Amino acid sequence: MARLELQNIGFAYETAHWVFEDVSFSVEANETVGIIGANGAGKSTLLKLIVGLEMVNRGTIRMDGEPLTTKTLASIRRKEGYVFQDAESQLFMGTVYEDVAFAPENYGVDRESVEEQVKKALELTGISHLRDRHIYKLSGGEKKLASIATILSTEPEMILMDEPSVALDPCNRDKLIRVINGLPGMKLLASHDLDFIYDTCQRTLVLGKGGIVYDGPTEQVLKDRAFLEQYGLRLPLSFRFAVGRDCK
Amino acid sequence: MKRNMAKHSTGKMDHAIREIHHVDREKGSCSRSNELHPLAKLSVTILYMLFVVSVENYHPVGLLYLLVYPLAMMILYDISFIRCMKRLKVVFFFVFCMGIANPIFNRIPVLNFWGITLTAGMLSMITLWMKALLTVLAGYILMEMTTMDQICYGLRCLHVPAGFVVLLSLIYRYLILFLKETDRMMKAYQLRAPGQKGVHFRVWGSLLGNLLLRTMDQGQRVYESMILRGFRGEYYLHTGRVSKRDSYLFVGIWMGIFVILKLFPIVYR
Repeated sequence: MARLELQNIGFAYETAHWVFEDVSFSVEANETVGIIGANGAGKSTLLKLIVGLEMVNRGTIRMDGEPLTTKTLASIRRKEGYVFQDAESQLFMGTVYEDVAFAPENYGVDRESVEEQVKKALELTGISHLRDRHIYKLSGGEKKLASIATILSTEPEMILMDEPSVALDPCNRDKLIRVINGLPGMKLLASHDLDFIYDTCQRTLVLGKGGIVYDGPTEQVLKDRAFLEQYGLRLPLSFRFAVGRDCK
Repeated sequence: MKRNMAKHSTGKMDHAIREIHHVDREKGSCSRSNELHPLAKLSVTILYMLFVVSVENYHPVGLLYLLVYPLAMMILYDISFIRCMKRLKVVFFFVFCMGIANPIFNRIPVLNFWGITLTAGMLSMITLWMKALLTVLAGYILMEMTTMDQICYGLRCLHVPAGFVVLLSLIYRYLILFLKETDRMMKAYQLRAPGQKGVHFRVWGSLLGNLLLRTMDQGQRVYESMILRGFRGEYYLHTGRVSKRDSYLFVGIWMGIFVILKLFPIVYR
């Protein structure tokens, strides 16, 4: 079973300004973890470090015990699926089918299996009817679901999503929540949308002051108004207006 | 009036983006051209271009017989001649700028045509124009029949280095991103500068700089998305309807025609 471990990692874009000074945590298989924090706290950077788009300055990242280095990058990336914040960056082929088939084809999967994996990915995201649709003809919500399908076609052990609910209408947002909750494997979701995190994640990490300032159950931290405000966040709407919910 | 001009410039950008998507969609839907293997289409185009450039510099008449290829392909694969002319009009302008000085530098008379003396410079200019027109037409026909990924796939089949092919495909993707980003920035500018004709020269620098940085960022993200999904410079065929027999026939027939026309240039006689 997949297991992700980050041990004492430090990262800086410029040497003088550390984004993370000493971050450690681990995620077990089938766990869904939310990553929240104010703008610039390093949510996207943390996900980029895990997929190796940026390399740590110190510390180690391990996937199933295998350290993430330039040599192991390809084999580790094979197990991961990263969904960009902007679906336009994720989708670059002509049609939905071509985009979803892109990864399995690159991993040398035979044509029949590619067909099968694409079909499965489209079914999981509920967009089978868009199979032959051109990317530029999709709506924002459809693009988001298609970009999730592009990573599901490789059946990744770990899914990382950067701001998955951004720019979605309530209907598509609910659909996305259902899709994410139905996905197997380890999931890491970085988002500002605390209601979305509440609906999808059992565990949450709060980023602030160059590291992790909270790691625990989602419900507990999302109810703590004072703590959230200290780190530039606000109570999620579902707690702010809920009657009978006990918030500090 | 001024506002209309501003609208017109973003409209052009919109139109260019839609045109690219439209062309891409058309390529995917043309079943007859999809049945041909991209390598077959690419090989015939390259062969044709080689035949065109191999014609001597002072024999424009020798190029006339090679018109058979673009004409036949346009008829066979329903490629609109008028749309082709519209799309290539800018390219044609540059083509006509080529060799324009030849008649000035080379005035040796070589032919008297119904009382008009043609110089070597004139002939070389006309030959150059025709060669450029025919090769541009062949390239256009290939682009009309084949998606960029299929062309890249064909180039890899020809063992063109992966680095070069990836560069080509990224340039194509970058072009689309560039147009989209330009469109966004121009719209944002015009909404805050209503009634202004074009872009004020004082903001040219920052506008261009921002445009470059934004498209580079976007291009970087697309490339990252590609490598995260296992991209290593290889391309794959997505059409399952490729007919090997038709592809071999296509290459064979055109090769035969080119060789016959080269060996027996009927037009000269």
